[in-house]
Amino acid sequence: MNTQSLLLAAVFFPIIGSCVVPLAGWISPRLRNGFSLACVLSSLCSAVCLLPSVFAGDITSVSYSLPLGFNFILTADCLSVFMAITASLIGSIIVFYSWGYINHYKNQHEYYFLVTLFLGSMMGIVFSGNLIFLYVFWEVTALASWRLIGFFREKSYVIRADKAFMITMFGAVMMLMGFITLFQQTGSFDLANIKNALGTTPAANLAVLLILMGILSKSATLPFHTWLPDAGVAPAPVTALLHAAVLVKIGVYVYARLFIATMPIALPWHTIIPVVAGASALISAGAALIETDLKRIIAYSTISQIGFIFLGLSTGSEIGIAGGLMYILMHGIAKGGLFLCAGIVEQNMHEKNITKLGGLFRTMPITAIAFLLCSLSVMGIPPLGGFFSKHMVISGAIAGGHPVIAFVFLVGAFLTILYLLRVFTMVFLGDPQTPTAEEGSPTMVISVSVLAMLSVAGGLYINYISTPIEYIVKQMVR
Amino acid sequence: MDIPILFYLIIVPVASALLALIAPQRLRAATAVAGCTVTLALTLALFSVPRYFSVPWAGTQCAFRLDAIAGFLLVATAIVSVLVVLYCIKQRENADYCYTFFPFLLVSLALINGALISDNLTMMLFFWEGLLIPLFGMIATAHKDAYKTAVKAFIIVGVSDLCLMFAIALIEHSAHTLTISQMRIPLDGAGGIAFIFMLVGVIAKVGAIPLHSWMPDAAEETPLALTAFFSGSLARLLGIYVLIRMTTEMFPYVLSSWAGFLIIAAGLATLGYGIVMAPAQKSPKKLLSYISIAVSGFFLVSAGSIFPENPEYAALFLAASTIIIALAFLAAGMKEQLMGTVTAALSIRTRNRAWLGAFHTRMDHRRFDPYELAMAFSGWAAKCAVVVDKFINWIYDGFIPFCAITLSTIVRAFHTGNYAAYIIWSLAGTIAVIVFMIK
Repeated sequence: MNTQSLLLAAVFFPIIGSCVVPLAGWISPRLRNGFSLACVLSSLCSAVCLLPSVFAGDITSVSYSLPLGFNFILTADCLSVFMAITASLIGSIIVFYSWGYINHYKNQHEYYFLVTLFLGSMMGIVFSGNLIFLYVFWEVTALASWRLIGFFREKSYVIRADKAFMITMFGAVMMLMGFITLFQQTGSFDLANIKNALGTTPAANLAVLLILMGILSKSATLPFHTWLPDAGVAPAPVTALLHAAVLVKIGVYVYARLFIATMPIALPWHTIIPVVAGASALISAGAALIETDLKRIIAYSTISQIGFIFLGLSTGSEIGIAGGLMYILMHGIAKGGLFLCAGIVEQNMHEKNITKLGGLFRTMPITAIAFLLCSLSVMGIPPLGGFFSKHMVISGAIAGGHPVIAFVFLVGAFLTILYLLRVFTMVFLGDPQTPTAEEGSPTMVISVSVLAMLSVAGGLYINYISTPIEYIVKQMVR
Repeated sequence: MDIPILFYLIIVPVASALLALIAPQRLRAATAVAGCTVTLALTLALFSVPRYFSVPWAGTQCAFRLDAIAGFLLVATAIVSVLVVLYCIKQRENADYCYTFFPFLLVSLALINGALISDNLTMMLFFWEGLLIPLFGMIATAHKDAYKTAVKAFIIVGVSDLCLMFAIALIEHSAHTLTISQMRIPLDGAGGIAFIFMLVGVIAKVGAIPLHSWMPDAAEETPLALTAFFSGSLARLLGIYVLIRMTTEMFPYVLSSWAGFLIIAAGLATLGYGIVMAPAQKSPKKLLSYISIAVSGFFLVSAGSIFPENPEYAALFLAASTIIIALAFLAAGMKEQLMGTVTAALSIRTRNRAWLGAFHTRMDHRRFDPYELAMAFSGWAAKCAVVVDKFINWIYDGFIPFCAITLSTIVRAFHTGNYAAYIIWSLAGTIAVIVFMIK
């Protein structure tokens, strides 16, 4: 396959395949499960196969001209391939985990259809070279996540799904207005044309503000963060998808794609965005510290950690950007692991309140160790991968001339240690509060183990990650 | 692949830890002994030749080195590890704990070795902060409720690591290098802030006030093997090692500035606090732990006044005292085994000299007696023996070295011209000693 075919396969195989998933389900549930995983794995394989070409400096592009400047363009460069691999790798593990998790519930065809569509749309966003199609894929993910959050159909769950949809939809509309403002400034929706048109001229502040509202709403950053903890009512693999691998990372990816790789923004934004991110990191970490619902704590943790990613990407220093990208990968893996572990606990114990849990280490040792390793990675403890990303982000903030903001994030990192240790000790150590249950199904336990091992490997084999990320950063800022 | 020989100081303990983890329980001790002994042999073999090399890692060139300072401390670390493992095998109580303790100990040994040979700050932080995981494991697995102390230790030490991370980022920004031996950072602006944050990190690591509280708790909650190995000895060794590097290489102007005063102030406060708190303890484990905290204060004062002028001598002194302190803890563990409960032993008298005196009488037949070891040191190196002798005396009579330190700080004050500050702190410390003696 040539690189263009690989690029098309990465996006359209899961999108078209998602429509086939229910049909496969009518034949056999196993076929449906396998086909759904194959769709997501096809994206992963395609992205991996694109690696040699993009790291050789080639940019693969597929373009179809459409009226009114709505050109359909897919572009594969280092950043998009990196993001595609990250999302599809974690997505594949989550789909594999779902085999053991979702078979207890109804509407499984719908579940696999939506999850596969969701991941395919993510690939569309990642590879999109045109703002309008980026918006289209963005909205498809919003629709899929809305249905997935309300998957269990309970009234209160549907209300929370509606809330998530409305907040992200509001942000998306603002972002669309920002795209139109940008179109007025540059005369194009194509990213390559916008880059050429702007050169070193900063994008209009209004456009930046509007696009930023969309980004912040999707990545659940202050003040648009409230939908994410409420989304914890969704099935555990879905919350992992939303919080760890895909949905919240869309925002930071689009930030990197637009405001680092495509267009310069005015200098004040390099201070405003870290300040907003810092406030988001601190406030949500404080909320995580007093929350007692297991999934909500991890959700608040996500909001807090997204702040770190924004800090790295927004400070303007190369080490900060590299740290931000590494954070996307390491946090995605570790947070995916945390949510999936929480899913095992929730499904087996029928309880999410950490004050009513305890002593699970004895009966769920693998889940407990996986949870601990993923927590340590999020805390930034060596030798796990999160250490390097946190260190690089803090270094980047200081290199970017923001030592005070870096110190604020240091406080955020301290709070991260506090709330994650609190969760681990209350859930897995001490005396059991209720009759304890056994480990989850083999697929679930394997999934969390793989994510925990990836967190460890991410730190031990950091050379294999840092070198390509440095190359990506060089290509982005060029 | 050509692996630099210094890396075997890390590889051997890690490999032994993995073997100990998968080995049957009866072979676990043998694996641990073998791992520690081979590491000790390596440190002795590598000791005589200074080495320096760098490898590409995580986007930068990471330098490693073995000089006299690191050499002394590597040997001391390996000796303490061997002694603790032998103690665990000998000790019958807490046998289950000791067997889970071995893999953690070996990983810790690897990480400590890594931190000692690192000439790159990020790399050093990587190894040093990595110690949090085995430390948490070693404390949390002691018994069912020990996890609370483990969490406390993790949080306090974790905060210190965050401070170090911030300091390193500041240093990288101001010095444009992370190689320790190439740094000469003035103590103004970012350099001064970096120094303060590094000092906070070191203070937490060595158990100096106000970040000391995890050490007595850990000593109380866990078998003495852990206290002897880490919280009572090697944590301080690493902290003071970093302080020596800070005062001799990274911030070479410490002695003639406010920074030196800051170190001495922290040291005197810790020393006084440890001496005052020690006799108030009912638990001998806590008593020893507070003595250990006081020792940390002693070293902090030395690091801010005497050590920078003769770092090799300081390292030798530090290495010797680390072994002695570890032995004191291990001997206390043996005593605990002999007498059933240490609290009963302590009820004879609460004053530490009396307790340690009784302990000395009863432990004469034990090979690793602190007094005998001091004698051994006397025959080995006269200069060291004097110091070690004073050190032992200090354990018996806490105020003697304190007076020596007071004297040395006053001498130092005349030497640097910074009279008032040193004398005030010395007098404050002396008052603390008087309070202790009255008590």
